[in-house]
Amino acid sequence: MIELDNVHKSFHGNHVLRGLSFKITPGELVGLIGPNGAGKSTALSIVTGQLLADAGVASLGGHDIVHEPLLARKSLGYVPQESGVEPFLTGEEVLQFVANLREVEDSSNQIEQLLSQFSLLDARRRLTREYSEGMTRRLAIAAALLPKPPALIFDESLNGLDPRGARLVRGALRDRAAAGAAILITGHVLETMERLCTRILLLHEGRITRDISEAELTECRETGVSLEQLYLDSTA
Amino acid sequence: MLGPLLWLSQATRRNRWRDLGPRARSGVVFGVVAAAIGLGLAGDSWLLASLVDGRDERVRSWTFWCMLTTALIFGYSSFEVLYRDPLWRRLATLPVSPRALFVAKVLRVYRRHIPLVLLPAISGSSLLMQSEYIAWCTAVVATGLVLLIGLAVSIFAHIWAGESLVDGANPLKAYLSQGYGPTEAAFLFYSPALALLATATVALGIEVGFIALYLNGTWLPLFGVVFGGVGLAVFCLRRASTIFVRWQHVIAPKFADVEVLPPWQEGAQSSRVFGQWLVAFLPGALAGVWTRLNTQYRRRYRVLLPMTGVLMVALAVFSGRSTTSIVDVWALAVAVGVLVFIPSFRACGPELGIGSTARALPIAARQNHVVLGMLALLEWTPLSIAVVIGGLAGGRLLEMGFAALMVLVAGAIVNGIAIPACVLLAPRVVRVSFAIRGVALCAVGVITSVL
Repeated sequence: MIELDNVHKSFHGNHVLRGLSFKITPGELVGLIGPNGAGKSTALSIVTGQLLADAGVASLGGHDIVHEPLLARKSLGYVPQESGVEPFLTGEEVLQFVANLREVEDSSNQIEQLLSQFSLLDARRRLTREYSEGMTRRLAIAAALLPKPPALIFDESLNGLDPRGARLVRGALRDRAAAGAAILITGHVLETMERLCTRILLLHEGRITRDISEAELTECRETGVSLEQLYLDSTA
Repeated sequence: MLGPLLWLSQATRRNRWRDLGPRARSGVVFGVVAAAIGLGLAGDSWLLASLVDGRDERVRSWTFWCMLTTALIFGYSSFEVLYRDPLWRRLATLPVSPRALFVAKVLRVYRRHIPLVLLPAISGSSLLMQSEYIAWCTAVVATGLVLLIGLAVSIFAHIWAGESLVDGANPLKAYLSQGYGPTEAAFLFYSPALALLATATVALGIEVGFIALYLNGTWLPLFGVVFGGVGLAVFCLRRASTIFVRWQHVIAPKFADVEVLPPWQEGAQSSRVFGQWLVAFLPGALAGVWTRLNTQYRRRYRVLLPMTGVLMVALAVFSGRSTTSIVDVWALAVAVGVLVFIPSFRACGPELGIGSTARALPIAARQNHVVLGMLALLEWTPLSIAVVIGGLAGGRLLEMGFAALMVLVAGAIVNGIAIPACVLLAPRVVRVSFAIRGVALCAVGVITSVL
């Protein structure tokens, strides 16, 4: 479970988050969208413990990120905007490091499986700095999925993927959601979000201005109203 | 949990070295060896200069300056390793226990700074050749002790300053580590200064211990200082560990708050930066290239101007002393310039994008050469001015004026080599910086030794 409860955050008097609240339950694949500067990255930084909220509570897997940071992070798989993969490790070493740190059982097999699933087997022994942007993204996502955490957060992590890579990742995320993970994704490509997510949260000026359920998304598709239209209406 | 962190560090180091390739590796090794030869020769000439008269005092003074120089370096760089190393950012969202993280950070700080012990070891190599083994060992051990104790004190100072960012921190502590300035200033100014002050005190204690040993033949004060210092180091590390384990999860995001400023937090930028007045003397296209480079450079490396001020004061004091020779002044000024003021290494690196945008924009390599040269001139001129001021104060204006001129000549030669090399190789300039700095320091050593 990923939860933010009445979170406020300001930088030098500029209110970025104004009582932001949402809850993502196991099995949900939720997209967080909003204009540039709406507070998406700040919200993710707070829920992952990289920034402190001025007020309110953020928790992962039921653990408060401030008071139980270690337990909360054990529940988390996170892919930041800039991938954050060690440039001087090979792809296989990155996954091995994550497996060792998170004490993943039967890690060799799982690493093998993920490398194969994300089409990285051939590049497994190359330094990640030699990877293309899409390969780095796939590796970062594989590293987040490796320990099978109950909460997964992707900060604009689907950018830079080619159609095949994007399809691989979408499939993997749906599988993980079906297995009971709570997944939060931010992004600007509304088409991708619409196809992938079971629920969309629209963040505008620091609060959720629209919470679009799966039923509403389906209804929109049937009536020919695109997510883009909803977005433009809500952020006008 | 510490195991994977240490493995990560070791594997990254190994792969980084392998990735350099044989030619680049040779360049780095060549640069380091050349710098070592230069340092050895410079140290040799300085120490041998008074082997006949006041030798013991000279050796002791050299030992003290070695200790102080290392303290000056690691007071700030230990802060950089503790808080700004990119590794910690990558680990920020992983479930790493604070205790393991603390040990990993401490080990990283020590590993990065242990090579500083080579400063007395190499610069004092002439003592070895003169069979002055005890003097050489004394300097190496003393600097090692300062590193051992001083790094622990520094780590404590930085983490203690970090704790002052926690809400509800003790106001006295907040004041001591932050002063009355804004919270953001705490990390940048006060904790490195605290670390330096404490380490310099330890170095002074060791120096006093040596003086007591030389003059009275008594070991007691030296033992007292050493054991007291080691006890202080243990206390500092234990206390730092306690603070870190308790507050790391708050300090790290607070620091991120301070460091990762969203655009609106920086506020409107002033278009007036140091050196912008030169635009008036430049033709249109070159003026644009200069504004683009200089503005970025000054905003990114804000610390350079105050650092120049501090180094100018130190150089002026050094050159103002009647006992300082013209060669020593020249060597020190050029060594400082080579280590700190070769702007092309910074400007052509990946951060400012001089190399990449030069390829995408209609900017000729010659224009880049000119603006980088102007930047170098702005950085080396204050060094010369400081030498002249020192000469004026010490009544040796003519001598020091000549030294100042020679400083500019050396700067022109070093930058004349560095600028085209950096423009050509941008943004991969790290290796060439090793080679050029090494060779330049070697040349300084050779010239000092010959003169």
